[in-house]
Amino acid sequence: MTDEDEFRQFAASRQKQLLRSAYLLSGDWHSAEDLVQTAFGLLYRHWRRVSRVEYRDAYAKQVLYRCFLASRRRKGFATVPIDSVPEPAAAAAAQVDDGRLSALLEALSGLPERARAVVVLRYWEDYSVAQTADALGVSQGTVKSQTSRALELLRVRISGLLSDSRQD
Amino acid sequence: MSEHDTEDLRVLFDGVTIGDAPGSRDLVGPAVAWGGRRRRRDRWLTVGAAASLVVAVAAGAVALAPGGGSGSGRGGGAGPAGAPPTHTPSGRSAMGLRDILGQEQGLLDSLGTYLPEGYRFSCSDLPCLAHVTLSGPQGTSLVEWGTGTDLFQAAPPSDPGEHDHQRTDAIPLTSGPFRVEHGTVTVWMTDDEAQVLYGSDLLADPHQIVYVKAQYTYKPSASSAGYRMMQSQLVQDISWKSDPRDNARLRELMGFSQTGPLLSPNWFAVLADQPTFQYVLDQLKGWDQQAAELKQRGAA
Repeated sequence: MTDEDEFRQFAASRQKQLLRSAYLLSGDWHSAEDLVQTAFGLLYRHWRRVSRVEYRDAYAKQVLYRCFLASRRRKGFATVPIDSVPEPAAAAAAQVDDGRLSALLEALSGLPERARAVVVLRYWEDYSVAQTADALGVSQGTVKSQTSRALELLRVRISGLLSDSRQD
Repeated sequence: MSEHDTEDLRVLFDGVTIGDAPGSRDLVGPAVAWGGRRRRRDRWLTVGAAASLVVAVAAGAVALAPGGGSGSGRGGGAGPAGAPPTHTPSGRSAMGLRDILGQEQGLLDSLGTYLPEGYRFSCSDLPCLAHVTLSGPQGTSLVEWGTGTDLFQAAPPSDPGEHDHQRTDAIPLTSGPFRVEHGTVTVWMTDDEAQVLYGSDLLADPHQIVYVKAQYTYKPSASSAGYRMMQSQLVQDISWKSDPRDNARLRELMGFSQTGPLLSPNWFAVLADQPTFQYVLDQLKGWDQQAAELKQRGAA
């Protein structure tokens, strides 16, 4: 099996999982696909090294989250969404959404990028504080402070959803 | 924020169902195309850097050779007193790779006089200049040597994984120039992090630092050429990246000293200030070139 074949197999098997994480980070499918594609590009560029890593899944996620933060740093060059183009993601989300996903996405979109990445890693990926710090390349103290800040903001935005989930 | 809210948020995330992307486009193909182009470019950059190094080594050797270029005017004859046999083209045909390795180790051993007691340079493979390690009572460190006028001073912007060292409590390294008898020695420190794929912030957080490189440069007063020597220190294992046993093997292979630079700037000054040091580097380059030609003929 060639280098490229091995990478393609890996990428195909992880694509859905990474897309879901990217969707939570970016808030729409188009940006999520861009993000995953960028991460795949970087992974393939360094595939010889990546293929020797024991925890490739964790590494791929790390690259995805760092790409997200890096792309936001360069957002001055990012494309601007065109309002007139219907967002297919909304329809797709509606198929499986009871309102929670939309509300959650809206609440997440109001968070600063790093805080959003921290929340998604901690509560969607179920990463510990240490793992989150490793993945984002920040200290554990930063993760804790970002989590606290993010949760304060989320409490205001989705207090209703939070109490609903408590009742569930 | 209460613990309840934290737990509720976890439950909320658990309860969310995200479907598949609608009509997902091909993400892998374009990524492979882009990554492939970058890989080719990376290879060319590596080749270009190696070629530049060879040119710089040649220029430095000519400039510093006794009676050659605008040289320092030190010494005379084929080599400095006490130096091992000179590399000459006449011996090429009879030499094998193992013989060349032996010759190069002999050249390195001739530098032992200028090292602290118990220290030794070794050459583990060819090309020798890329596989020199320094062993001493404190451990072993990979040694990267270079020559030329444009010595590495700071991390290039194109390499976001390498940064100027920010002095921290965890790694209190200092840097700066000082005069020696025949020139100037400058100490540079750079940090490397493991996660080099992205990130352009300065490394203020010592937890992000994985390697520290100590680099000494030497510029003779009488020449514009210079020499550099780099030693690597492994600051922390990369737990997320591979098995700790792999890290142990990596340390052994690459010679990352756990205790910091083995050779102090002052000892480097003693070594670099010797005509023998410059002569040995020149000779090693010649032997490495011969080994490369031999390998090429063997491959053909």
